[in-house]
Amino acid sequence: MTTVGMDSIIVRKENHLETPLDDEVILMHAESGEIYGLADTARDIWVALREPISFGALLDRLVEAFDVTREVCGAEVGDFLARLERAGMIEIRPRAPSAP
Amino acid sequence: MIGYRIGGLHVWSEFEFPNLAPIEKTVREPADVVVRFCDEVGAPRDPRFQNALIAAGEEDFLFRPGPCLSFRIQAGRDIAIARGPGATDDEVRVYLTGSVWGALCHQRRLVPLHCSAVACKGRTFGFAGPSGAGKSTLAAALARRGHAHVCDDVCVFDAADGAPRVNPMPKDLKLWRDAAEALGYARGPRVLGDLEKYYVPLPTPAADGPFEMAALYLLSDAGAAPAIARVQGGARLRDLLASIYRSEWLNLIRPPAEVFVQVAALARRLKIFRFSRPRTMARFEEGLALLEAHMAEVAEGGEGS
Repeated sequence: MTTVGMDSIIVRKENHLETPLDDEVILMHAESGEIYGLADTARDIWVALREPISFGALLDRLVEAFDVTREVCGAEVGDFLARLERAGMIEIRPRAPSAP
Repeated sequence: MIGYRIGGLHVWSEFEFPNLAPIEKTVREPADVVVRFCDEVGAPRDPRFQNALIAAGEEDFLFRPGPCLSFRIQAGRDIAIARGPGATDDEVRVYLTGSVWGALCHQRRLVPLHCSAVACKGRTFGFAGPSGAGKSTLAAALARRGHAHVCDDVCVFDAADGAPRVNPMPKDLKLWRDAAEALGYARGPRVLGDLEKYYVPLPTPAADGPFEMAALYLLSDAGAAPAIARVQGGARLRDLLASIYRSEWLNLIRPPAEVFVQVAALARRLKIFRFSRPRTMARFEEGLALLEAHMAEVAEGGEGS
């Protein structure tokens, strides 16, 4: 598992299918066939990952949208991203190299 | 060749189904499926999977349920049968309307559902669950209480958009001896290979279908009182996928991505509930009463939540 730092870039992988169902976003891993349902905050995080985003910027958005401290949010979102990474749905890249 | 309508498809068959009425000779529409006998069925080239029972190739599926009996299903329209002297008509019929038809449906991009079904107030209600979950017993008990029996074991969703509609497969109702006796059904012949399971004759539905499916109930055991709860979100898709007949062959025959899109669209249009109940005869009636009231509510347009 990759350690998530504030500068880490979270990138969705292209190896899944996605469809809305009820209030959830349903994901299917194209190779394993595993199905995941994302509801509530998990769905909102997934939507925020539509474009590659740094962990810090993701937390900024979530802290603004939800009544939660940055510390609590950081721990919970970090756990969730680790689960998505284990499921093969995202890639967590170390900080993008700065332009010369 | 004899013409039949099976699971919503027009079939020309060299095999004579003793339990089905042939289509009248005036019907001239081209057959969707041809069932024929041959000496050797051969095997798919370059199968992506094979074992002693099956071989799966491109639009080509071989099913060998026994040493004297093989079926080869190709392009969703051709079923070739090679039978030795040891294979009975009953075996051929049971496999044709069971596993073979499951593989055929997968090739035709049709979704076969492992469920029994009855009608309530003009709409159809399915009961799904793995073998032994009580599908047949439940449908037979509801039929005893005046609901028309629509199908046992398998029905097939038709390909049309809109309200989900199913075509029943012509399979005979099979009940365990104790269930048949408790429900007061006269037992027919014993089912091959199942020592205490018997065919039970029931009147066939007056209409052929397709029938609009108002709701699907997933059967599960519960120690406490019977309960019905709506299934939502990802669970709805997972449970519907798990209720597909011969789902273990699905990914050998169809691309998983295509199945995901199709079944998600179906899940969106279908009300799914979990019906959990104790499996004791003493509390069976209590579960039936709850289910009947729920079906009546859904049939009249209620959400049944």
